[in-house]
Amino acid sequence: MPVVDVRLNALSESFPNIHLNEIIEKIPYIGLDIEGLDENNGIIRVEFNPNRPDYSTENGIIRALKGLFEKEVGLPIVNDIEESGYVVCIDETVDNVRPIICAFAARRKDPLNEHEISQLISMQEDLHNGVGRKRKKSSIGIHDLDHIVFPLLYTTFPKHFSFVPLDRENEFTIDNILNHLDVGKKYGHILQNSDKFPILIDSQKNVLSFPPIINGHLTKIKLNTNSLLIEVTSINEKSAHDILSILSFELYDMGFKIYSLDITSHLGESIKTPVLKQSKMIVSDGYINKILGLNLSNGELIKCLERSRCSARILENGDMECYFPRYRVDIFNPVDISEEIAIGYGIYRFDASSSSSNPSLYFSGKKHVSSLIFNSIREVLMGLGFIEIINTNIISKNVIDDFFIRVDNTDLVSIEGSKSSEFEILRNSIIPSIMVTLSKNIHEKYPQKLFEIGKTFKVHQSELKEEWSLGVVIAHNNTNYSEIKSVLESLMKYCFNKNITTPRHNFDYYLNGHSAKILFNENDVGNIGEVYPQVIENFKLRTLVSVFQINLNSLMDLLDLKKIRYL
Amino acid sequence: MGINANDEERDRELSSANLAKESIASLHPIEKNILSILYYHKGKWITDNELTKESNLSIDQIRRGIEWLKFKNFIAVEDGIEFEISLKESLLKNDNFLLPERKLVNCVKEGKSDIVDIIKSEAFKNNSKEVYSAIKFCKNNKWIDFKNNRISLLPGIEHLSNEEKFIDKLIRIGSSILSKLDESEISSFEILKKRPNFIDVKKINNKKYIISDLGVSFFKELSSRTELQRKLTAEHLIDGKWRDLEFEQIDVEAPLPLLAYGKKNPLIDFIDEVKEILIGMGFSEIDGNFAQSSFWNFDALFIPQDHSARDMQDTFYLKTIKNIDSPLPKDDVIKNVSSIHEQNWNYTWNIEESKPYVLRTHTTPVTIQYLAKEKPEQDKTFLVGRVFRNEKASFKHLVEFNQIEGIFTSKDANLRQLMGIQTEFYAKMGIKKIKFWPTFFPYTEPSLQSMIYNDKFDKWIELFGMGILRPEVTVPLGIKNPVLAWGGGFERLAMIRFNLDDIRELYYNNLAWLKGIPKCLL
Repeated sequence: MPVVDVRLNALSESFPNIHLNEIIEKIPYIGLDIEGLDENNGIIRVEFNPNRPDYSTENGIIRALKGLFEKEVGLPIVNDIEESGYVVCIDETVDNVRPIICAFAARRKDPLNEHEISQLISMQEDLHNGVGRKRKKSSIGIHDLDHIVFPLLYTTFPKHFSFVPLDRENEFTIDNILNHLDVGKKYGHILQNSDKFPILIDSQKNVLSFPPIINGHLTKIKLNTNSLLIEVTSINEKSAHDILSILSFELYDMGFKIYSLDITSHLGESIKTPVLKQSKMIVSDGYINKILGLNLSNGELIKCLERSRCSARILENGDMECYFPRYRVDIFNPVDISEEIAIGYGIYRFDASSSSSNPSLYFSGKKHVSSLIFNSIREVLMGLGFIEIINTNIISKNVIDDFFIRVDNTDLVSIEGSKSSEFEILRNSIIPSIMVTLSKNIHEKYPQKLFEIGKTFKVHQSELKEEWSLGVVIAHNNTNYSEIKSVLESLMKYCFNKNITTPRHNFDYYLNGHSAKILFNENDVGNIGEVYPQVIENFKLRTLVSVFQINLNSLMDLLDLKKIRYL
Repeated sequence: MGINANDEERDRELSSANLAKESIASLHPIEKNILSILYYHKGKWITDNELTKESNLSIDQIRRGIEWLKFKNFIAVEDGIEFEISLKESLLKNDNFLLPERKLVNCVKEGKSDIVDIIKSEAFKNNSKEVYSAIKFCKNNKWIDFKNNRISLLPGIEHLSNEEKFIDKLIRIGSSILSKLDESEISSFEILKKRPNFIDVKKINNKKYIISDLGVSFFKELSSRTELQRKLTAEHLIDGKWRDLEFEQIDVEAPLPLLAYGKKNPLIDFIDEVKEILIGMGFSEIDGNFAQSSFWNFDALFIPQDHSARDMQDTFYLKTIKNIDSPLPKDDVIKNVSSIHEQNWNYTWNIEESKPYVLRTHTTPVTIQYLAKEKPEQDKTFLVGRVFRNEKASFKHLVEFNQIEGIFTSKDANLRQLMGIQTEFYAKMGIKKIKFWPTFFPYTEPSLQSMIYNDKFDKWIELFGMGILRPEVTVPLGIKNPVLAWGGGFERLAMIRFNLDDIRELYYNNLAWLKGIPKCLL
């Protein structure tokens, strides 16, 4: 989750009458996680969830806290937006590349300070990664307004077009940027299906940006910058305006005056951005109290919403018309309003005592039948002296090779794009992992008697089949077929009062003549044997190992578990 | 002061009398063995070496037995400095070693009576010094007359000299301790020590023991009793002899080795305990596959197709050589889900993106398929099962771990009930301090996370997340009533329970660790 640094003195200054500890205590109750408190630098590090991009700056967080502390309630408003008269023209060539652009200008007397620049940059990064979907959907350019000569043209150029990109001294062609600069390599794939590349230029043919890759160097913001142009390009109109609205509120809270721009399409249509009109939604009467389990009056409901920086009015039919800021992209269903009310009410005020869990409905809980069977098997094996182990499902292919499982690769299930040989395939047999466990415990006392109940995976008739499997091993210097078979027979007898048969069968991983299939009611349910010496060596063991494995799904099918009864 | 000192003394006497009484009841065979030897030699100091030889006990056993007996005041112990006397090694190697005086006698027996002949003889090889010394000792032994350089034998030659006897003893027993020699042996030793190349003397530190008066009286009392049996046997029982027998007191306090035993894996055992709690709360267990289609793992849960959680960096996608089909729902469900995505997330939903198999990143796809299939009006279910995250394993992150998840659905289900269920569950686990914070999950709204206070670590720990399933999740699947859902990683609880700093230890299968975890946490 993304992290924001909030200055403790910014908190104190915003709430002069409230103790800092109390402010910090309330931070989690607006849906933020406190990651750490750095008192030396006077900073609290706060994690926010990607559904709340407006929390990506200190100002956004303070805006929400002001509601909870009732210092400012209801919808936040950007006052006095003036028309700048600046124009951005959209060329039709961007249509198939990245068709949307919107922008606004912002001015104030004081230049940006270091803290503000870093907040803006980290906000830009968080918006890129979250709602911008790693710049694929939307991306942001922040420019020094004073270096721009309007009108702007949002157009495309071929790959040999060149300009000086941000923080470079020389011109680069688009091709070079995509192939040689880190940002180009990282984000170039977004434009890969195009031979024309989006460029925003001013009337002097200076490049402001090459979205979504990099800005031009000319309009870079510096410590003396006090006039900004903010632009968002996108493949999705709603997303572009959402992001622009978040940025508008942020700059307004930084003390900037906001100026709108005219965005003119190649068809001559023109809109003014930013679009900051509040959103609204109707919530039916009684819904909120029902879903939250509260009993609030309409007045209280509205007050709670206002503490969450939203507002509402009651319609004649009793329904509630709710209003929320444009940047609240996370609200699109009445349940989202219910959460705003819960937060405005204060989660800490809910009666969460266990008595409130006690709806008058009765349920009788029970275990899944496979849990019952597995526990019965566990109990018998425990009585026979076996220790249960657990292993991972994702294993290295080497492990099954070491166990001499000659598998048809088309039956294997592997991990796509595996980065390490440790995490290559889903195990198709349970025994190899148990052999690994034995090899990790060679310094422990023998005899070692282990078992595991776990899943195994294979491809079977164009289906991925996962099945529960039981593996049982005995390791010591005198173990042999008779010993392990007597465990198998005891298990089947003591657990199910059933017999199995073991017709001779040879396996690569068992000693020839010392192994068999396990048949239950004439059906193959597993195998048993003394492990082949080379396999034992492969696992670096210096003692004998005998083994059986049973496919529990097959066994459970054959046992007809519906017949399990009390009487 | 004086009175107090007397009291102390009396106390000491009393306690040693009690000790003696107890001792009778619990004399270990080792103690008995040692005590009997010391009793046999009563009045004499017996060394470690001697005790070893006579008792057939190991050094360790003797040390232990001596400690016990000393504690009971049955014996006294002294750190004796001793001198060990033995023959020079060169001399031991010579099978036919004789003292010079005996050699001289033998020479004369062979017929050489002239001193010059004797010096020249094979036995003395011109060593006149040796011959004169031999003459001196022969005279001391009254073996010869020596007149006019001629030697004649006396009848005393048939008797061994004291020195010869002493040397024979040393040859026989290897070495001897100075303090154990009798008077004549001591004088022989003194004489031989003065003569070069016969005797070695080594200083040794040899603990020695002597039976005390208390030990003597105790041993007498012990021996007066019927012969003790080491243990009760089946024969004693069957032939009825046990009626006439007394049995040895065994050491009932000594610790013994732990037995090998079979046991459930501690993590599974803990999961089972928690399952029982949930069952007691009316939840029923459900079960489902680890491998899920992207549809059920993501799309059905309203996670947009361009969401970063769906990246290969976070999720394990499965690959097979043969083409396989992942289970997708009926067309109308797909249509419902896709249109809700397109309406709310503003993108074009692509069915291909929902087909690939993934290892479930949470247990919710199992729950949601259950709900979509059963469409219960009201229900309480739970599951605990393996989930998979493509993360780097570390002390606090596992690639595979268990998630616990529960749902409650009914017509009137609400957020407060959900918080109440958590409180009830935590209370059953002994957790009393809980707080709830708002948070975000793509498929629940409102969403909360719970924090629990852990006394052991003296801090708040983030535990289960929860929320009400979004209508965007339930409505397309035909689920009518609100569904309260909660869940989270299980291993986090296991770390607290088993005192682990490294979560990976749960899956190391270190047998010593597995055996060492007690069944009950107290």
